[in-house]
Amino acid sequence: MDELTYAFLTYAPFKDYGPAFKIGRYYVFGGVAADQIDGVQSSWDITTATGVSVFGGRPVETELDGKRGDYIYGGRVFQRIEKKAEVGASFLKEDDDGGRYREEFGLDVWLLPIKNLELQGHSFWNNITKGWMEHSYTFRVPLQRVVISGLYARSDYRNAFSARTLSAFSPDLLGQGEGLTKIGASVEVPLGGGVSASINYTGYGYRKSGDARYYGGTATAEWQSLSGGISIHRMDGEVERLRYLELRAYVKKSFRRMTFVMDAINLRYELPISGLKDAYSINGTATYKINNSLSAGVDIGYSKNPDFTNNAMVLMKLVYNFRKDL
Amino acid sequence: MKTGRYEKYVFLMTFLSALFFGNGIPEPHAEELKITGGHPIELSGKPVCTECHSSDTEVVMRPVAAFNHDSDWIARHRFLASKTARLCDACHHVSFCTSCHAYKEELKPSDKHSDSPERWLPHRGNYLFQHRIDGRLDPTSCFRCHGRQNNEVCRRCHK
Repeated sequence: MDELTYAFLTYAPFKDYGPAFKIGRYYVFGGVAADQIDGVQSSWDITTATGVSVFGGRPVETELDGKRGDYIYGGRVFQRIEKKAEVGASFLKEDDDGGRYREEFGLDVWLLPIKNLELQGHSFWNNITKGWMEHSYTFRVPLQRVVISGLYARSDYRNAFSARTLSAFSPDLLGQGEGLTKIGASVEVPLGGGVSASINYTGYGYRKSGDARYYGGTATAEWQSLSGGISIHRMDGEVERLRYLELRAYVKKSFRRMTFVMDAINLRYELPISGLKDAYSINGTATYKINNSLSAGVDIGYSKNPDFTNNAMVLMKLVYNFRKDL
Repeated sequence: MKTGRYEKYVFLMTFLSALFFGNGIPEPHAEELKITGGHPIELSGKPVCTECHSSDTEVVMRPVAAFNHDSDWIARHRFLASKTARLCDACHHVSFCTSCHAYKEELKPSDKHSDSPERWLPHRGNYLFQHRIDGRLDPTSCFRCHGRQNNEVCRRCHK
């Protein structure tokens, strides 16, 4: 049972609006909640402008101390203003062994203040540590020939990672009082004929560590059954490990029932790490579609990095899709 | 917080240029498009809604352009998924979400979907070394999937 990814029943007697119900193991997405639970959920779009959802059950997480006394519940309400905005408020409470584990509140917004500007994002509050977990907001302007977008995100590690089942997110490892502010922008230009190009920039600012910038460009192309992409990015940080050039290229070609992919990544460190300046990984994939649901494939990969001077991998896959959307 | 001065200017300039040059999000109209029963035509590849839908089409009171699966879609899909799950259901079922957002999963999404390089999934190649760099760079992006679950492999080293 514990290996189960999902299994649930949905009861939605109304086609588009009206209450819908779920029971079983599934993901809850809504405001502050992005959690897998064993439980029940009801969501109700009361009108096109107003809705509410609630859920409750047992959290599906890495178990460190047994399941007794573990509960999770929460909900979200939203109000839409026609063509202009959606504002949501959400909360989540989780108990572990009967004790307070998570108490989180969220505010989320989607705004269209003018017809050429879309804003969305959220802010989450940790009511146990009494601090903001994260603020994450984006803006986006899709024009006729270009899409411009930007990102602002800020996170306080102590508040954001207070409920964890992995020591990698401990302040002992990431630093006491550490936090990240991320600001980015990208411009995508569809060039026509299946060709698209984009440039992007992301700046990383830390409270304690040295800052970093990641920037570069990507181009993709698609022509009939052939597609490909190439990207080049520079990581420019104040610490040695964050100074490298990243290159990636892939090509994909389909012949009837066969699909072939070549995918290569190269990292060129400014200063050698464990004596290595060039790390790379090359992967080839061949997939044969037996029918609409069943496919068989083989992946062959070779990589070289500071951990492994020669690393080869072969993976054989037999995939059966119960749904056509995978 | 030591946010670099360049980042602020880049963000501000991009925002202002978007305001200045922008004229593109189609004017939505009040009529609701009800596609929760499924999209009427099967789509292949990344859907760019505005390729077919007229400029005034509106979905759940948003312009249809908001749902274009363009280059920044992976970064922003979480915002829409948490608000318009029933719309996502028109094309995607939970099996699609859990093929990446797993509970206990041995295969990396990039290995599971190695025949879809156009999805630019994380963890490509041998990620063991690079995860130390990415994990320090932005642990918030790791935490969403590995903070409380789907970390059986991580826990072999990070007890």
